[in-house]
Amino acid sequence: MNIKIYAIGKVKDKNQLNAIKEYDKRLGRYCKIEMILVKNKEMLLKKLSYKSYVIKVSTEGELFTSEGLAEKIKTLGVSGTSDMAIVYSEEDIKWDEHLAVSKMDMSLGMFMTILFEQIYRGYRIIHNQAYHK
Amino acid sequence: MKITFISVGKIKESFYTKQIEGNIKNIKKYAQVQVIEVPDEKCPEKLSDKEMIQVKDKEGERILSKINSGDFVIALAIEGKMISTDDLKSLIKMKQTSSIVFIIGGSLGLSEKVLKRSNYKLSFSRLTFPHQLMKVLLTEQVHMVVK
Repeated sequence: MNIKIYAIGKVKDKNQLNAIKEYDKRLGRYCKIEMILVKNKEMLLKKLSYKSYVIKVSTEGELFTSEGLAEKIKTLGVSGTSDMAIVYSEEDIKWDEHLAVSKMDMSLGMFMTILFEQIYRGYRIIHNQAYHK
Repeated sequence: MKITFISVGKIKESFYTKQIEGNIKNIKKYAQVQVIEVPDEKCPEKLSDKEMIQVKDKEGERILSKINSGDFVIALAIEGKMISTDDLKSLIKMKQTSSIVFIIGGSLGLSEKVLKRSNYKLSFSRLTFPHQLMKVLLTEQVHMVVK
């Protein structure tokens, strides 16, 4: 599976970047994942491929569980969808699914850390591998 | 305003501890902050229900020993309320005269006694987070609402 996570903005905090890097490394054996940060909506729309399964994430979306995300990754894989695009944005974009990590706001680096960690957790769940809380 | 964070177990990853330290430093500009880590119980993979309750109770006693009678206690719990940052801001504002205590449980969660003592149960997400990441998320959120 190719997973791309898009957002408008920047992650400057070194420790947040290190956390993301760590999960990125651990995910290497399961999927291809990439964080794509752009300056504005125009750039976002330009980069975003609608051939992918698009998941919009904002505080207005539907809350989901770690098991639910694992199931989603698994189902998409089985159905032959190889590209997943996760877009963290309040912008009006075309989406296949609209989800929420939390009703609360958070920094972009925090969001990315959570997403990378949850996708890693998702693969551990799919493969029945232990993962500590 | 006085804010206390109580959590169970040590945080190991340095990229998490550094983020928590940074967030705490930011909160200290607006409030008096205390950070308490109580020791966790050894928790093997397979525990019976009874053993799980024992672990939670032991950790719970350590948590309760750090709470004062007048504290406004906000426990992070799966069954807690999911609210927006603005709603949390209002809640904290309402309680700013008292000492506010946030509690993050161990890997099995919080004991019945701790949940009973809490004045508010809060949930950030339906996702299951590692307890270290939860503490980063909580401290970042508290910084957002006190600033």
